[in-house]
Amino acid sequence: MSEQETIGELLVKRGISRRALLKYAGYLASVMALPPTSSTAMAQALANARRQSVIWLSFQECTGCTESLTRSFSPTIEDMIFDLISLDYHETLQAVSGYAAEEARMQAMKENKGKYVVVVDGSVSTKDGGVYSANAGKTNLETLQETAKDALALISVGTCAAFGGIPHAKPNPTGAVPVSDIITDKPIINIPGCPPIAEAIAGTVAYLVTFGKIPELDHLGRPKAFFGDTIHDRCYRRPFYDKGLFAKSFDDEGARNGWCLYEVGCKGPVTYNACATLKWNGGVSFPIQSGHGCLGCSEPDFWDRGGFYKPLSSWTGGNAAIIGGAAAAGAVVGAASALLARRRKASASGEKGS
Amino acid sequence: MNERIVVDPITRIEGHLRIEAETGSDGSITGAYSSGTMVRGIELILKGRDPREAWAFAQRICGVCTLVHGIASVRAVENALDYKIPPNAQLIRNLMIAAQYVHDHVMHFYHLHALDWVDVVSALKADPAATSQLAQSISSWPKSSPGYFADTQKKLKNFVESGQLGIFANGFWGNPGFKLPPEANLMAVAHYLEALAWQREVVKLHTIFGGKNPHPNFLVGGAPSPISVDSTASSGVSATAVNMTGLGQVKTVIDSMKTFVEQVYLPDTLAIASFYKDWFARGEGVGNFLTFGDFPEKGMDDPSSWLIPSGAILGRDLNTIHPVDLNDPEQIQEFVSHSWYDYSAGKDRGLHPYEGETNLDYTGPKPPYEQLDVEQSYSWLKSPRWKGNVMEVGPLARVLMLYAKGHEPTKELAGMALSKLDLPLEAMFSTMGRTAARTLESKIIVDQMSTWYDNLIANIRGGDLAVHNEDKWEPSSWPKEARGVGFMEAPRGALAHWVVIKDGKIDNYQAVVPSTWNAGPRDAQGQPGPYEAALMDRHTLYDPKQPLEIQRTIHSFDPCIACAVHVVDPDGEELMKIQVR
Amino acid sequence: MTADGATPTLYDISTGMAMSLMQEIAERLGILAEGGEPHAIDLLGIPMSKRDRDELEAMLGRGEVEVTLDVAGASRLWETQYSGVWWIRHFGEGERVASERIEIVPVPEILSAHRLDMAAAARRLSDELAQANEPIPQEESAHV
Repeated sequence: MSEQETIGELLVKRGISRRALLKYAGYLASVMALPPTSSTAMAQALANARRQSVIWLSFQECTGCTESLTRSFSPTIEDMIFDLISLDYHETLQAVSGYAAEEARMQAMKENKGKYVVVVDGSVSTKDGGVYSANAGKTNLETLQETAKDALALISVGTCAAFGGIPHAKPNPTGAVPVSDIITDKPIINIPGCPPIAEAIAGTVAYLVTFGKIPELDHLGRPKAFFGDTIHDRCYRRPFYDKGLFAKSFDDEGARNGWCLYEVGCKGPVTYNACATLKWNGGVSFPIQSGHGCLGCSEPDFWDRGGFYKPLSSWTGGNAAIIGGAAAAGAVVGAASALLARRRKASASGEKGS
Repeated sequence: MNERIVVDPITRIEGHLRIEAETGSDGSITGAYSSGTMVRGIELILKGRDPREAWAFAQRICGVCTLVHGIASVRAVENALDYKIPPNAQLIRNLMIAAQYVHDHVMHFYHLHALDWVDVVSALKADPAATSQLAQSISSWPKSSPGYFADTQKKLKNFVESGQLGIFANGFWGNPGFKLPPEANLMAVAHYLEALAWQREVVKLHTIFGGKNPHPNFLVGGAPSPISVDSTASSGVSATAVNMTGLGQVKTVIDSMKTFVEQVYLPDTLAIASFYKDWFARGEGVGNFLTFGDFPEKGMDDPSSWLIPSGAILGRDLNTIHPVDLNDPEQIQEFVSHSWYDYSAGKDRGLHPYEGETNLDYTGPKPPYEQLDVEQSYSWLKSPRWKGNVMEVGPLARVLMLYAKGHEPTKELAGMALSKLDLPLEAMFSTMGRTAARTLESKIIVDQMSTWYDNLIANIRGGDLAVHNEDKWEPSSWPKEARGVGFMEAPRGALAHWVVIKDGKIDNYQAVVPSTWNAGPRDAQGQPGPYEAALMDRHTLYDPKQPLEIQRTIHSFDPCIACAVHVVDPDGEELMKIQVR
Repeated sequence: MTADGATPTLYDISTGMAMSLMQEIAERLGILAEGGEPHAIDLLGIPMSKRDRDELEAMLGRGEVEVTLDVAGASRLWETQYSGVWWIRHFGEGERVASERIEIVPVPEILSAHRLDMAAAARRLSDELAQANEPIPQEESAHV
């Protein structure tokens, strides 16, 4: 097989100018909180990269994460498949079934030894040797170990792969664990969410292709670019919280006026994710904007933290007490957001080395 | 000499499915076995939780037909508590369910099913001008110029020449089972890509009412999305997503869905089907069909107002519609004779979902394994039965039910399709009939969406903004004990959740899911499930290494295996046991 | 937009963000004018109300140059009333704003043609000219 073409060469062949890459790099810099001035270097790096071999493994999952990825607006799933990556194994999307499918995985592992990226959605059943989830006659446990062995890095997409998710919720009937419990000798990026925002998955993959390294992660292995702030910090309803204006039920005057959903159980203050900034499905809305409190779905064990409709003050996670106090007292409008903007810039300047 | 064919994983489906088939010397399938190979135990996880939260857990049963379990769950709790929802909430739910149908069916056709009929590599040989002629002869869809198809072909050519075929690698390209001319293949590839872009736009209906997709939010007692018509819609930032701008976007989505179904999906289905008429003569399941009903004009408690009626058809007899009662312990029962579960009263008993129990009991071979022992248990799916009968659920069941009940738009549409293809009604009992029924019902449902939308707008204009009923939100207002069933027609078929509530908590929860009806294994009487029966109906493999024929019939059901596998444990005790053989 | 304070909407809230950004812009423009580095501010990364944004746009105003790009969706760029301060708004699929930034730079880079694109264009142009000079008339080329 001939030497693979770079992404830049592929685009020139298709008559797509470098401006498109520059525009995308600018967008990526924006969503990844990289310095806005870095887009030139990023466009260059992206042009010189080759399509990244990706093997996508689906374990104890609901396919919501794959569905979410197909909703990505930048880059789109078509652009990813054609230009950015070579999706060499993906059960939901690939043409062939059975033996030929498994053979495609083996082939990709062989041809790209040490260079391919493994994406996992779904938790891994470990109880009773992992018999509760099997594929092609093998347990997921075995498939994961076999595929991860020669991988460059792993990406755990969705809360199930990242933290165990719903199969891991009490009483965890099948002994479900996150990927990081099984694979300990490879870099792993966690992109949690139930499902994650499409652009967070696509953006992380694009970053990996562009720079050939993993982005800056928080203590839970999440890219800081998407998981650096709480939803509450970035919520358009934050000013109402600061003023002490709360919806008391789901369809009262406050709810219709877009007041803060803290008292009907919103978990935005303790949930790190980009829903309030990137929003969903091309920026149309996000759960709070459509009236339902945040479930906290990008946090570990969010299913077991004491109730989606209970205010945080009665919740078991995070800095609930402090938040409760602030809500009761109310705060000065604006001060908090100025502070946040500065924090955001500080985290961006930390990335200058890239 | 009989041969055993194993196809695992079946790709382009939701979830983990394995098919084993026995073939005779001529390659014909003489025995078929369907096995779900993954279990999570979501219903077990639900026990003891707040019933108002059950929808969020249940919804995670599946992210493809996302929302169906959320809807069934809130309806189950509302049924148990006799909790009425406002008319606007009913309309919003109808719109969201209908959007799910159209989105799901189009994606199934192009992204999960098309590659069984469309040879991607053959599209490289197409003449773009002839492709344009073909496209314009069947539809007024504007993206049909020679230049447009030339561009698509060029993109495909660059891709193939790059040597990294990704998801198209190792395809059965060139298999003589592919019958489309190169031009039809190219047109289908172009629409495969267009549908990817289209689907991203149309899910926005869910995002506006539910905050995101996949997994939009729901609320027991109504809808969670308050309407904020008075706020400053022109500013771009308004109080909630359901404002005049958001409602305008909903209208745009409905129009886009209708146009795509009428100008792309329906003509493509008929065009492709016309080259595969032999597939209208094989792949019949069991000839029994079941629906629970959905899309109420008034409320779930008024069956006369449902768009899709409820009923059972036995032995292809469209003249007799049997009534279905979800609460009758003798009607719906689940069996585990060939499933990796045990029942306390014996493995051969059938249990109604209110009494349902699920004790994981894996007795299959120790992985890695080559073959399952199909004489014993061989699946994580149970075998649901209606009055002991194996039933097929899904688009074909619904279209037949509407047809049998004399629904005029259905009779007209089915008549048009069958006359274009020059086929009798009996041709619907087949693999291609199932695929065509999915397209037909998309048209039937998308046509209703404007009416629901107009009714919602009329209510808002009339000053009715209510989307949630606060009356029974607090658990203190509930009876000590209650039980209820929530049902719906999911894109893949009849779905119901049964919930038992005690002291404000879930005491038992059970879902009986479309793909369990269709993909379940044999029962105590040895009756095969619909997948298994369909594969045994006139299938001959051209090349056992390329199980194209198996893919076609299995995909015609649109499997959703994560949905199909579920767990209930009414005692909450550690009941799992394991015997690896 | 009621001023009585009974039911404030988000439209009404000004956080003072526009003014603090103006100060940052002034500082960086001074640096650039003295031969220093260009600078960029990502507007989507900063929490701003609709009113903040309108305020900032009004304070910066419009200058001499306005450009529309048509690449991977539309883009609109304009130089503000302050030379070297550019407002750049990229649209993604549909009419959604995909990214929005202020650049403090003589000319935004996206306006320049890239060397490789020029090389590809030069090849194509000479191919087309060669074809046009051939004696047998060609069918209309596909990439018009």
